[in-house]
Amino acid sequence: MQIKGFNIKYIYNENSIDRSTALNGVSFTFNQGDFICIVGKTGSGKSTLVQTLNALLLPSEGYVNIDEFFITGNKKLKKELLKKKDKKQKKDNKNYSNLRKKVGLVFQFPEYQLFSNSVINDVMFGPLNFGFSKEEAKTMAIKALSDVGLNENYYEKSPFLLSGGEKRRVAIAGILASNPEVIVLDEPTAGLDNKGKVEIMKVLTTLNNLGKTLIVITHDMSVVQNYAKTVIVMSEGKIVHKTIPDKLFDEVDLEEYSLEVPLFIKFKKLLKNNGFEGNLEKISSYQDLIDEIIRIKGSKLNG
Amino acid sequence: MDSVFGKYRNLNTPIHKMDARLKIFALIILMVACFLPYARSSIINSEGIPEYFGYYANTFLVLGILALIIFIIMIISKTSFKSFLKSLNAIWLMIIFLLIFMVFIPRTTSTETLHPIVTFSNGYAIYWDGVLQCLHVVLRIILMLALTLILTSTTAPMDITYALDWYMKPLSLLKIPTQIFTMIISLALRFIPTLLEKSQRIMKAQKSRGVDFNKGFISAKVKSITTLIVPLLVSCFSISDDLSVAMYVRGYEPYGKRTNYKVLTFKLSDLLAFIILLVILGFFIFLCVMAQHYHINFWEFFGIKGTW
Repeated sequence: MQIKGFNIKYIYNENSIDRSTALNGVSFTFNQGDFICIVGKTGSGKSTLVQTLNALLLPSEGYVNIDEFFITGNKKLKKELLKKKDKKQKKDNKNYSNLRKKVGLVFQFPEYQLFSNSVINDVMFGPLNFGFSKEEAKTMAIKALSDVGLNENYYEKSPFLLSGGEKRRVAIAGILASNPEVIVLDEPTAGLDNKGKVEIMKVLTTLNNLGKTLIVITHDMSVVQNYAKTVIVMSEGKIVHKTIPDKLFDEVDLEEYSLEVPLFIKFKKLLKNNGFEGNLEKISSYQDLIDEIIRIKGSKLNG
Repeated sequence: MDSVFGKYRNLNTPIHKMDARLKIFALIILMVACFLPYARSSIINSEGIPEYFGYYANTFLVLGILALIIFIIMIISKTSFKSFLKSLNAIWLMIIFLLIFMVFIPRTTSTETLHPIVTFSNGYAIYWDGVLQCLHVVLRIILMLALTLILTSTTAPMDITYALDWYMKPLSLLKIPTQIFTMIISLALRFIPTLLEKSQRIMKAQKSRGVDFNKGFISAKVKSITTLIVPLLVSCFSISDDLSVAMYVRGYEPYGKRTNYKVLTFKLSDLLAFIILLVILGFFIFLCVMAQHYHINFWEFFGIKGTW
């Protein structure tokens, strides 16, 4: 399943004095199975963009196309897009609940959406809303919980008594349970300790390996470096770069977008600037770097 | 989400500059003026003819004068008429409810004095008395809404709080800790936008889990509201915990004497406004007494004789 965006514009408070343009002509194509990280300053339009992907916000101009769904707030445009198409599509595009089954969105600090008295009930809530039977929902919830690494000891616990990292995993399971093909996460690692972060990212990588498309907003460049396949840089409501992580670190001045360069990359650049002779292009981990240093040192010793 | 009352607009008009305490006083005075009875108490005149139009004619005339005064204040304070109309949106249900009840069942002492417009075959009727009564009540409500809108759109919420604090001061003689009430009000006002934003976020999060807040029967709606209320309450408690600790750390002492950064000052222009207000109040009380006691309608001061 491909996600396409065509010249999306979104304006908050359109008819008011405090109107502000959050998206200003954004176009993109996301492929099935991709792991996309969206980075950029606060206020660059990242959260607005991902909210248009499951129709929580409808673009003022332009549209997002996912399978048979056309997401736009422009009624004229929508009418044109849906012309000559079948009735089912029209119905699907009226309220987007079927779309939300396909595209799951996990908000920043998702633990604030928990409300049930037990973990299992909270995770079952999504599938039940999407019309699955109670048994199906339970199976789906159990699978989602095991995907995020929570076993049966947790099922009957109150979600409010869990730790921060556990709450977040329950909330993510709440979205996974409906088995969406695309999972969008807004800063999944914010406010977590290193262990929690690694655990969450491990879950996400596993999901990506199963063929799910992941779209992750983050400020953490180590997430970009270690997990992303594609990275998008946003600034002032526009996509300014779409590239692979290595190229991003090599070619783009990240400080311009208030982004931090990972230590490893900084170190590589320092080595290069100080006349390191080895081939730094292919090196992507500390082990590779050590090997390269040993290789050069060895060849020098031999020479 | 728009609130019923207008948001404060930071403009530079005489009404904005007025002392907040005086504005609250003015609100009370003009509201009292809305509710004074401006009609003769007798419904039958000396010739035995019912004067139901005369009864309401005086009331509507006086309320019309009041409306004119409020309208002038709205223009001076540059209150937006759009937000006024928006606030009327909130009460149209109530108006319909009133219409249905009062038009069919007017309040009266005896049924003989009722004046039907149409009588239906089954005995029910629509009465002039009901229609006029209903108009009277609706007009009062609209005027009151306009008044509160003027207050909230010309006075910063904090100033209203300070003014209320000032009015509550006599209570401190009875050892009632008024400064705590003020703190509660100002904190509540401060957190309205925060909670609105939070509730919108939670609604979006639940929407992406398939909740439809607009659809379904009552039971489905109750269920979907629960998914909003519970997380909202949880985050409310965590906010209030954090807030109380933060206040404590910064040395907040609930029973201590508090001073304000902004001190309300009573200016010469405020004194002038105060006198004008007293004159207005006097004028309306005079009209009320004249109608109630001496059975003199407003227009009779100008030598116009007779009833409507």
